Amino acid sequence: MSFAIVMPQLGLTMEEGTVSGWLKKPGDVVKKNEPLFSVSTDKVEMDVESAVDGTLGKIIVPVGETVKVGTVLAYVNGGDGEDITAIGSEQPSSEDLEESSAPQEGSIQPTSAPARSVVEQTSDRARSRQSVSPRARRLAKELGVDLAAVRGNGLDGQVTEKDIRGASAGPRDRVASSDGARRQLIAERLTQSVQTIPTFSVAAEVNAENFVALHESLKQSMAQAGGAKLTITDLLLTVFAQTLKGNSELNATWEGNAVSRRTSVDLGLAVATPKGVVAPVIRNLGSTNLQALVARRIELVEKARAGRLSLADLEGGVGTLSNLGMYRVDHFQAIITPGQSSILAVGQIRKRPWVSETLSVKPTVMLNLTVDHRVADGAIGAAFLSKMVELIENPQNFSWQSTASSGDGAGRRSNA
Amino acid sequence: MGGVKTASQAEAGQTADQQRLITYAEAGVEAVREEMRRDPSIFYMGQGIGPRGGNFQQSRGLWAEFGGERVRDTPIAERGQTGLGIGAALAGSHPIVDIVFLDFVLEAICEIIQQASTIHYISDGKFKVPVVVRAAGGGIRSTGPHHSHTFYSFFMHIPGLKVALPSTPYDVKGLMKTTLRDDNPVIFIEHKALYNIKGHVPEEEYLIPFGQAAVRKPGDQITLVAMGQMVHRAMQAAVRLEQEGISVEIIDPRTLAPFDKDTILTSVAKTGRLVIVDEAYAACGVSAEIAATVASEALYELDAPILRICTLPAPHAFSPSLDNYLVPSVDRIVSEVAALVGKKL
Amino acid sequence: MKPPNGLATSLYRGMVEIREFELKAKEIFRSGKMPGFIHVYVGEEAIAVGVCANLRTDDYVASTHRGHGHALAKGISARSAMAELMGAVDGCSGGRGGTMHLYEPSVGFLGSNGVVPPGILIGAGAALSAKVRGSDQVAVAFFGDGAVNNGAFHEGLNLAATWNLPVLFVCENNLYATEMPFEQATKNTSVASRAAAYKIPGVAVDGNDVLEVYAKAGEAVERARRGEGPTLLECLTYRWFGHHEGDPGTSYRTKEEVAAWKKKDPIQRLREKAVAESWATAGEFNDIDNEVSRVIQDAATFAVGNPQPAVNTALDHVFSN
Repeated sequence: MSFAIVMPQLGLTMEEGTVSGWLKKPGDVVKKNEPLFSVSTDKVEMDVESAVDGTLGKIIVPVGETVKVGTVLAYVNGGDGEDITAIGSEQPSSEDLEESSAPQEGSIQPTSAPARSVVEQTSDRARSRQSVSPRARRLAKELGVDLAAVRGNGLDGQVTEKDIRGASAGPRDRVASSDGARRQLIAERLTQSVQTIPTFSVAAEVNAENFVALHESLKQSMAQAGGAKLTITDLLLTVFAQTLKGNSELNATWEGNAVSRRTSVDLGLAVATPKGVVAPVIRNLGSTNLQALVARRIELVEKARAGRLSLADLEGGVGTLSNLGMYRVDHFQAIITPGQSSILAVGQIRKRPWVSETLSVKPTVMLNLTVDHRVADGAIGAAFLSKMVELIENPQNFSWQSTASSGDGAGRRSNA
Repeated sequence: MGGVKTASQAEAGQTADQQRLITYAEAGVEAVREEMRRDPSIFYMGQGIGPRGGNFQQSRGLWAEFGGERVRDTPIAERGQTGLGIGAALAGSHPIVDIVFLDFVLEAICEIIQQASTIHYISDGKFKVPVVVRAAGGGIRSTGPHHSHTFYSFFMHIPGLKVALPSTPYDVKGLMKTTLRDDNPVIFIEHKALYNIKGHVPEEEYLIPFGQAAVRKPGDQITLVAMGQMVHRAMQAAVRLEQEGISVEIIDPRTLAPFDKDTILTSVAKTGRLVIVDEAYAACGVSAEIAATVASEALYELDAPILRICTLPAPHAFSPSLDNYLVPSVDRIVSEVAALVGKKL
Repeated sequence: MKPPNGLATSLYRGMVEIREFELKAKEIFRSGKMPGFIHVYVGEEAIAVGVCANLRTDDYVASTHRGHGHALAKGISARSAMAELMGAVDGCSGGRGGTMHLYEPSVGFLGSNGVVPPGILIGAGAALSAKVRGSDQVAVAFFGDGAVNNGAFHEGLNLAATWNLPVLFVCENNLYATEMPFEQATKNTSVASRAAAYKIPGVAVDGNDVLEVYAKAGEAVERARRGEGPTLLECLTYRWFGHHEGDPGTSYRTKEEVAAWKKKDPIQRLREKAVAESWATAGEFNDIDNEVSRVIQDAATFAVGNPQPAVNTALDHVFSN
């Protein structure tokens, strides 16, 4: 009995996925819940476990191919001694159809179509190996072009230099390597954002003196309580979340043709990874204490850097915080993540000239808030930013929850 | 077969007004004459090369100038001629042994390969063998099965022999002069169909070194290597191919040993495609040697299989219809080269 | 007729040197130390010595596969020749030629040869060069009965005759070409008579009588040097041993025949005659024997101890630069 391995539905909106790696070879033993292959979509890249024990048969969809959800990728032989070379032709032979006329429990009924003979398949494989000229093969390697994605226009369909040069210049219809996949994803999403979301930005330079002092003291008390290390980013997230909690206009996104409001506050945090930037979402920030926030932040950042974020980790944020303060960047403007309505870009906290009544030197930080104009107008955005500025400059007006310091430290006062 | 414009003019670096137009045969005579004047150890023997001036007029005037000791007719005894030439070379002379028709070099091949090619090496460098074996290969107007061969691959195969294969009057003179100043055995193969073609040849002295190919026509899509008469057919084919947008670069090796492979490799790196047009047979021929060299040293430059256009494997038929069919014609070159880039011509 | 003073002993020494060299070469070959295979000249010494005694250093000799005798007679040292037989670096051909490819331009030795007739052509060619250059050098081409039925013999003699070349063609007719008796290879068993076809003098001599060989070869050499063209000299002789080391030479020859020819040993015949005619004493001959023995022993020791050429020279001299 054979079990069909199909392209799984990895998210609500997923329609197709790309096989980004096979973790087993045909003939290998497969165990239930053992990772069998990896998939990349426009949102995520992840491993998929086998649902059964058995032996992997022929691989039907190779690395790099994009198929619709539900497409059979391979078969796992049920381990009852069936000849695995017979299993795994793209479509079953008519003999197979006759034998298994009724759908069997646990198997997915393959669609009917005549099988191709092994000889044909071998020669196809052989032909596909031979049909790339040595020059083209070398060039593909040099230019980083995936041969599987190139159509050959030479004699007998051979892939030649011309095809490689064309492929490296033009758009690709398939995504093969996971590195390429990541960039492709990012490119598509950001282009979509810039092309579809009308934005405006508001910016402010903020006196961070008190904020920095608050951070120091909270950091110490949390450390003494055995907690994880508190960062400025954690505090900024809290600032952003708290302001959203009290501002229903920006805690909303543009869906379909209307503003859709939210109840909880879910924010993404931009994390740089070797494979590109991702923004995992921390949920329910409105009712998360600082300790829990820090733990969650650490967990998500680690997952992000290891490439193990799930779709759920990435979906559903209303805004994103992007802090480039660890670099010598004063201020910058970020791009809104599609599906969200704002992004807060934070620069480096540095000593700068500060004028109140007199000229002095204070640690300041520059904030830039980019807003989806369909969701909120300029005044709303400006008011929102002003509230955040107020919270940063006068943090004593807020109770920064810290489990170890209920009663000491910054004090607690409830905030409306 | 007249007046095909080649790289002669460019090579000589002179304008057309300044250069003379002389025939391939005249260029050869000029070279031999100049060298015989310069070097008294050179003498010339062969059938009909004396008062008659050679079957192809390739020694015209030499007997009159140098006399019967230095320019002597021989009976039909190619092995004897060549064997004596080798012995004379060992004794300090620099003889030219004119076999006239390359086909008959087979009578002498034992002496050339067993004696001439080996003696310098097996005598530990003590004896030099400065002998020239000169002959005209190739077919013209149904010369038929015993008078049409192009045997140069036999000689390219043997270490210790140099092989020159001029295709233009300019080449004949320059290569013959180099030959007659070389202390090694040289097989100097001309083409009987080229003796009457004219080309620009400077009066001033010049030498063409061995191992230096000539790019007869630059191009960027296909590298085409051709020899002897095939150079001219390839040039004509290239004109037609150019009209169809197919750009062919034609390379003429000029000498087979030593062989200039670098020019060909550089060209293939540019074009990615190699065609060899050879009047000899394909099996174990020079075309096979060039193909193997390129496949081995420039495999990752090749964008298409290597194409060899050679005389089909049959003896040289007499009948013109068969002869024109067997030997690569301009039409065959055009259509096979075009097919290489997917065009039907 | 009394030969000039010293000629007898000089001819004797030449023959003994060849005899001792060949016997020593056989000995080394049998011991397994010598590469390749050799063709020894034992029994034919009178020809090489008798002919070459008439030549100048700058005259030419083209030899055969059975060429050690010609090489020594023309002036190649025993050391140099023996080392070459060993394929060693100080051999006259640097170890690259071996027994059948001994070369030495300084004494006009144009090479022993692995192919049968080319020596005829090479010798004639050297003579042609001399003629074209206007020099009075002469050339000698040695060959065996096995060469005379080959096309190269005909072409070479015809060209030499037609062009009046200063060459002496010496046929060492030892009655067998490898295992083929001469009388089975041709209807005309007189080599000398073939000269008539080319209209050159053809002379047949007892190849085991060194004085006769010397005299007749001398006449031919003088003729050539005077510009009167080639001569064909047939020397009837016999090789004591097989065609090559390893061939006993008895499957196609009778023991009686071999024994009969051994009795005609050219060295013994000269010695006996010289002593009988008082051209020289036994003592002088004994001294020569001893001296040659030392020379050959020295050559053998030298050759066996001489190193092979270094492999990094393997591609040298393919071409002359």
